[in-house]
Amino acid sequence: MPLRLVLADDAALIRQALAELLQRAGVEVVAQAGNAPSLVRAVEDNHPDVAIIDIRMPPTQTREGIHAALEIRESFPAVGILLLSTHTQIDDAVELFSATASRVGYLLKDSVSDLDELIDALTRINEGGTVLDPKLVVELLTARRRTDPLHALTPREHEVLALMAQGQSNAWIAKTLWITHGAVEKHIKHIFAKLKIPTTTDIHRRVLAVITFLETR
Amino acid sequence: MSHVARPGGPCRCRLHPSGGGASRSVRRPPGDNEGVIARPELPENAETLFRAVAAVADALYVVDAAGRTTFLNPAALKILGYADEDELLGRVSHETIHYRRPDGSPFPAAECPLLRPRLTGETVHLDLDWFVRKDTTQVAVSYSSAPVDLADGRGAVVAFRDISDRLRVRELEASRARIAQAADDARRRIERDLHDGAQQQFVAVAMRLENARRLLAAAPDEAARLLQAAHADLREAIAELQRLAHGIHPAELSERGLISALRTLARRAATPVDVTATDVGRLHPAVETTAYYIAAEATANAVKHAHAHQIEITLARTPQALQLTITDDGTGGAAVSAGTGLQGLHDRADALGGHITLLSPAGGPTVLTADLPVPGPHTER
Repeated sequence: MPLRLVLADDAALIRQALAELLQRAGVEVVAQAGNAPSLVRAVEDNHPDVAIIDIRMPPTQTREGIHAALEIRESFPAVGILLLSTHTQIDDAVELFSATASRVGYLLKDSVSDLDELIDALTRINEGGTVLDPKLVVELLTARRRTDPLHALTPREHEVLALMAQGQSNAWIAKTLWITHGAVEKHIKHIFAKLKIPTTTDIHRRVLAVITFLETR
Repeated sequence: MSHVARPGGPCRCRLHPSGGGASRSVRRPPGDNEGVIARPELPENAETLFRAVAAVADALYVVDAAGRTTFLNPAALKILGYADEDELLGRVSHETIHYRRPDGSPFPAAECPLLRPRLTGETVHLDLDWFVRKDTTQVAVSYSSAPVDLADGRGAVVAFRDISDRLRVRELEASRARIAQAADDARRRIERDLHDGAQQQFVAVAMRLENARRLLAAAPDEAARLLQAAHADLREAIAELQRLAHGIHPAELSERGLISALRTLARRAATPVDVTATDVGRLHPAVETTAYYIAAEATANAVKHAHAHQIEITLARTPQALQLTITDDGTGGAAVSAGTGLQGLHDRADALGGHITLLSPAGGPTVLTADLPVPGPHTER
């Protein structure tokens, strides 16, 4: 059965293009909305698998999307949430991830034009995962600190940390880096010990712990 | 002799009260036994004249041939910050009210334009000079100094005016002109960046797309390659636009406030930046924007000019003001001078009624502090 989506973006041009792109990939766009209230109604009427929501929507063009997302999560917890942002805002991602548990993602609009990346994100969210745009992770990882705890990591551990921050599962990390599942677990154990991050196996809590650490290190 | 009417109440110009030639002697101030200060007398006709002028002029004093103050009116006393004319009468005026330049260096009497009328007989007018007040602060004045014949030789009469307000207005006008100029420059820069950057990239993408369209039927593989390249170029152009937009105004500043924007600034800096901030809440947008650009400029300068290894931004709030401090461990030697970004920030702070203090000795460290008044909580945006 194809993924069923609701799309919310006040820019009709983007909404239309995104819908065409998704339909090309066999995803069913069941409804579109240009503002937060009509988005919530569309979710209520259609119960989609995932709602794709632009963060900036009328009337203030600031964080309407986040508020709508949290409202949907409250009333329809089964609906996955993918927030789209025109620019990297770590605080938005942290707010979203702190207020929700899994089935949630944060992507830059720029990344959405890559269909593979978009479909991968939607699939992972629909399967209960957490998705954070790799560009945000790169920005967090490359922030300079005078005494940087990240210096204690090996290059391989650094790669594993980046993938964890994006919300990737251990199995996926093993596959991507061509290492065994056991090796991934060993790396993660070392990373958590070196950075003194509280250990958790829950992917969503792990993303939140890692990005909170990276932001405040 | 006949006295002209004394000018308005508080004038206590103690000219010799007796008539005729008896007034040639030197009188000592009351209570001053061993005459450190000798006050020469004025001839009667001069006395009459000065009293008449003192009644209309803003501020006026007279020095004798030896440069000693022999007369001053209440307006002069007030501007100079003295309560009693006895504090000035009989003292050499240059050494009392004109001995220091605004930069703190001594003002040699030999270079004093006020003394020239006495020496050469010329009349001197100056639009801007500085007198030293009793409390040693300095006051901006304009003055005319003209020679006058006194009993003991040629003296000078100096009429002056406190021009602090006029200077302040002039500075505000200059600052406003610089702000307008900076805004014009910024617009030109944005136009150039859009034209040379994003627009070129979009044009290139359009040409690639056109090329791909023509190749579609005959050479689909080549068309696909072109489309892929166009897609990559376009993403690069979008990133370029985002950088440009962020430079014009960082979105998180209006969406999440100053601390959030400063953290992003720190994250993206080429040198480690620590942000220490108490929760200052949301402030008036003009304050937030000014504070952000002060921090951004100071950080950029620290990296680019001072070659700092570590930068610290601290943000604190008092009920009336926001205090922002940027400290770096670089080479120092920064100055707020014309044409620099710091001048622009100084103007912006000034426009809000705040100010910037820069301490940057050669060798560092550099500490820039901005105090910006906060009009009150700002909730509605």
